[in-house]
Amino acid sequence: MSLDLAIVDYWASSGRSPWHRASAASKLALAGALLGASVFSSSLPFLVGLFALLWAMVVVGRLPAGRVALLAAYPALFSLIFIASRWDGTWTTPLVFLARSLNGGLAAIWLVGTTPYPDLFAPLSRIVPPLVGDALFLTYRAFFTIAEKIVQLAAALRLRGGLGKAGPRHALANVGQGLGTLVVFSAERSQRVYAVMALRGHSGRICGCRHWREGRRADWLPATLAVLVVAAAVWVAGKTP
Amino acid sequence: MTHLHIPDGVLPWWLWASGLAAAALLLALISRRHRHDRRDRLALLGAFSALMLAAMALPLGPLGYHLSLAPLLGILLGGGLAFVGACVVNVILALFGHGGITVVGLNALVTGASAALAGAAYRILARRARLFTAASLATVVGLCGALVLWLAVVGVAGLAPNPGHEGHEHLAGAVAQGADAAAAAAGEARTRLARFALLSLPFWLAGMAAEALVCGGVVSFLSKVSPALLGTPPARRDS
Repeated sequence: MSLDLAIVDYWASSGRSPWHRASAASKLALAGALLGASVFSSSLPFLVGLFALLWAMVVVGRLPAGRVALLAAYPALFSLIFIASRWDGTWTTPLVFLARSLNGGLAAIWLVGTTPYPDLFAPLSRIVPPLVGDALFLTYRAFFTIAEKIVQLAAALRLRGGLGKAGPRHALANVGQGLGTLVVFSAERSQRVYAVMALRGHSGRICGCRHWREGRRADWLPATLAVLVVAAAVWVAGKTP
Repeated sequence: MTHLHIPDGVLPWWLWASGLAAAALLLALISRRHRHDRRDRLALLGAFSALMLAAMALPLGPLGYHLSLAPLLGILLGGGLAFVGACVVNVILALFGHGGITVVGLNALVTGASAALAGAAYRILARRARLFTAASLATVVGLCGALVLWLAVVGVAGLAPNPGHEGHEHLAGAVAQGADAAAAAAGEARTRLARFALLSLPFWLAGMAAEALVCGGVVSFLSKVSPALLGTPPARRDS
């Protein structure tokens, strides 16, 4: 996932599509409308329509379709076990569950693929307590360094036979010891981060940026689509018996 | 797979909305309790949450099987901060491909429960057993608690009707139709839960064993290299 996170981060920062030009607030509204319409609807044709709309949004955003498909399919894997437990002899029920989880995953990938993380996390950090908002930023920023270390650790364990012949019990204990070095590394890194925060005058909230909510000309597209999606969802719900 | 993520759209709205509300309330209480903490605890929370996120990036086999490290976070940070870490990790995972934005609250409650229980169990067990054993057992305790909570979520969700069957076979509708119909609907819900438990239990058991051994290994290592990270020095240490 480290690579996925890095790549999605790159899409969000380097893209030049109409979505990338729109503000985070309008895209959050559209993603929320799509997600709400998906989880509240039981109409399979409507859910398939939303899925098609999401793919059109991905294409307009010039996000690589193959990798987006792989990422968006991940929630479908988790939903399989739920679908199996809710089997009622019809194919509509599993397809509705599958479409809902696919739409949810795709809406999230579209959002993070077109919105740089400071713009995305800033509104979130406004609605959660400062401790949680700051932890969100610090976790995301620390992730890439630690993920790189964990990949190196996995390679070292493999090369030195730490995962080899002694059996799974010893292999897992070795993984534990290896992760122990990463715990120590993470703790030392956090002290350096804290020193930098103190030096920069951290006052209890990390991100003060507000441009995520500044209206832009490109906002008309996500805003209009959000209204249309909500209207369509209400209309479909009214028609469904 | 000790923390099977619940994707969007498979649970009734009132259940995930309750999960979001409960998680928000817990976050508010924890933030209030830790408002006077030293600021370096925040940096530590970010670093350990990132480690938890990175561990989930390390696949241990097919089907996206990976460690969660939530119990370890509970042991290192305590239940409250570990819950915050679990929330943060679940938000990032939900946004970056795991799905489940609407169920972030429930996923965080399940993951956070394993962290909080493991942290509490470790503080008791570390005085009585070797640290490897104490951490492994604490991990099992935490994950069993999370499993119970998770099955409870799925069991409650089983009472809701499938999409397109609202008003026909769900428990509330059946109660209105009479005792026999209610009993039939409750029986259906139990069948769903049993089927679900049967399908998921092997993954949980395998994940629990892996997580316990890894967590024991980490704590055993830390007791030798950096015991301060484990908090108050317990009475017995690994030799």
